[in-house]
Amino acid sequence: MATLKRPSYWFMDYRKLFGTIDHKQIGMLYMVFAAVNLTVAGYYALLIRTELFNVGLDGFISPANYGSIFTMHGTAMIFLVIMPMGAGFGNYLIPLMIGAKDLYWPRWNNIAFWMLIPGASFVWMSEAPIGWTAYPPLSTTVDSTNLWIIGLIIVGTSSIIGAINFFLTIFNLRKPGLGMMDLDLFSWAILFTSFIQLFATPIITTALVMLLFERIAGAPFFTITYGSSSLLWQHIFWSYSHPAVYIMILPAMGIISVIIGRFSQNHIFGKSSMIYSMGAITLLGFMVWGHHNFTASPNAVPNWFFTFTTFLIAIPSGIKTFNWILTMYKGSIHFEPPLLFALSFILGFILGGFSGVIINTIPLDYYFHDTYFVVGHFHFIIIGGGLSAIIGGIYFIFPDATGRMYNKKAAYVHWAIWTVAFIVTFGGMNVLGYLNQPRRYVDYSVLSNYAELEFWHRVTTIGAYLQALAFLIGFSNLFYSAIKGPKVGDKPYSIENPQFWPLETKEESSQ
Amino acid sequence: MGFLISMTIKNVSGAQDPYYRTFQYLFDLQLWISIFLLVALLITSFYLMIKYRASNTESKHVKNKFHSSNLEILWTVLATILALWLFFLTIGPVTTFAKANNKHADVIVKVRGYQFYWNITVGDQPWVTGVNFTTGAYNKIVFDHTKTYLLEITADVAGVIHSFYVPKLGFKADAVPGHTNYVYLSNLVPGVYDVTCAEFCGAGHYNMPARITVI
Repeated sequence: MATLKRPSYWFMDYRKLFGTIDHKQIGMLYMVFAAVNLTVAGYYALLIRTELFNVGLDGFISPANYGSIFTMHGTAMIFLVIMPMGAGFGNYLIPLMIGAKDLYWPRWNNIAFWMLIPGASFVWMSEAPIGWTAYPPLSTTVDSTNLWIIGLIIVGTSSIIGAINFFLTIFNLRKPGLGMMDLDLFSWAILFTSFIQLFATPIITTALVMLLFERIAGAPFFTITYGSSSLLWQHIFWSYSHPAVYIMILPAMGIISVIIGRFSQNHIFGKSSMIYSMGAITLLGFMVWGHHNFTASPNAVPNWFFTFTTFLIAIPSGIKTFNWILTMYKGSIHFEPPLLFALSFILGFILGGFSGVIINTIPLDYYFHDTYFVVGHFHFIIIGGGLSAIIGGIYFIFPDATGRMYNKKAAYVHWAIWTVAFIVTFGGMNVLGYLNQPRRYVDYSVLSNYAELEFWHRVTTIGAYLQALAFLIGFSNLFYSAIKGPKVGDKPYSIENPQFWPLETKEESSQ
Repeated sequence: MGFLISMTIKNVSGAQDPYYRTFQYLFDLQLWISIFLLVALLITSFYLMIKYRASNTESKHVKNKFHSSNLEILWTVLATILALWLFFLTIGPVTTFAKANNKHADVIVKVRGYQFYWNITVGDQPWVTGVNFTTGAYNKIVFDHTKTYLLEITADVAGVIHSFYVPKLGFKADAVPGHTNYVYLSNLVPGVYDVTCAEFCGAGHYNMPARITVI
């Protein structure tokens, strides 16, 4: 593994760029793709937050455009940022983690990445004002949704190819003597993620094809005037999209499990319970989708079932949190940037987890459903948690990917601003939810407590701009360092194993 | 344990109260549990971070094999008890809410969502809601606090999904075309209550206000 030569400017050669079958290079392409989409989708978020800074329609964004903007923000952040980031880390790291030369299907891997470009272009071009959940009958009537659907089908297909590839790689290409229970937690996380992608993505593809047929061919799947029900979509959609949130968070959990172990110079506390917890989350994740529909049709028995399964999922999540924290016990903790971002993940995961338990309590969901409380909840988990872990992971593998070192002081500043900013932004959203601000409102002057809401919207907007500042610092640092940073050898950090993957010695294979 | 039981009984016996009271009670409870756990986790984390920081530890390569199955079993059991208890607390309110249309109500209120206004009929009194921005006037919907109300919430059959959200009465129910959701209201407290739409229904989603005045 160490024999892999340091990457040069390989991407300057278009044949190499489009034809690369090297897992590290494809992994980096995924990350760059995700970073580009993150920039645009983040810019959309700033547009939203700027509009909401003042009460009243000030003409900055029209109500018609507002729908397009939050839909694109959500769709892109989920399908074009967080999920490709997970695939990127899997590509870059899985062969190194399990001692393989490359993924099982290098060429399919290349195709899976390049499929994202037309898929993403279609999604971005559609600008469909339907919300990322695309509930019919609204989504059957709004123009430009066809393009959104086709884009997502392509992205989903890419995701399925990637999942099969990771499955085959992890099951078939492990180095001799590396049993499944010896696998590190990152590989397990990618394995479970691939399981969800493989079994859940066909559901959304089916739903999207049904919606497309209804739109272009008049097939009445979701329309009441033909005797069907739009609630059907909600169930099909969420039976994919709830597992999909674990597609987003499991790779992040894998990344921080490795980072916390490495930088605490310690073994992960309770490694087998971590694996079982991830397995429990994966399986339970398929059984909880109805908690998105508590208010759609408040029948007691299905609501009990879904609230029960969702409370159960809090147990493995809690176990994992305790294990991460106790991993530091009797360790030797080096507070390098990757570890700090991993600790921010834990904080975001705890804060988002508590609000998750609150909105799963049905009488509270009747109040909080579709308010900013829910928005704060999933942003805490996916951005405060997942994206923090991804940034930490990028700082960790940056020296290997570029052969150069980033500026550590700037990275500390990035971390400090980022952590404060996401707590302010998403905490502000939780307060807004408690003050009953519904989601997807371009203006809140019709609510009688608008003065109070304006204050908290301003707090949230300031937090969002601080996040943008943190990103600017982080991006500039990485971009500059990739070209001009000091060259670094195999020891970028002063810890025993300064690389993401295990040491090659035999007795360390269990790490 | 006695605390848990007394909280549970208090909640179940209070199931006849308006939904907002249930909301306040459960929210306060969960908020305090969350704050307690958050503080405990933060104290533990900071203690470990400070105690085992690299400059404070002798060996740079610790690799300790510390493991405690008892500890893992303990917190798994505790987390399970907490989760089951929180689930148990929701059973009563969920049943009460779901059985709305079995109850006798003095007045039937028909709520129908349109793009972008509510058509509300209280008894035989029809209202079309919406704010007039030049005058700031609302069509007032008046409820009598001595009466009980059954809300039949649905949406325009040819329209889209809305959600009838009355935050200070502690409930929302989706207005789905071709599907009726029922909400039973009793023991109303006099006051003015905001109504908004909580399910994205198009460009005018933000502008579907109504006011319910309980006298």
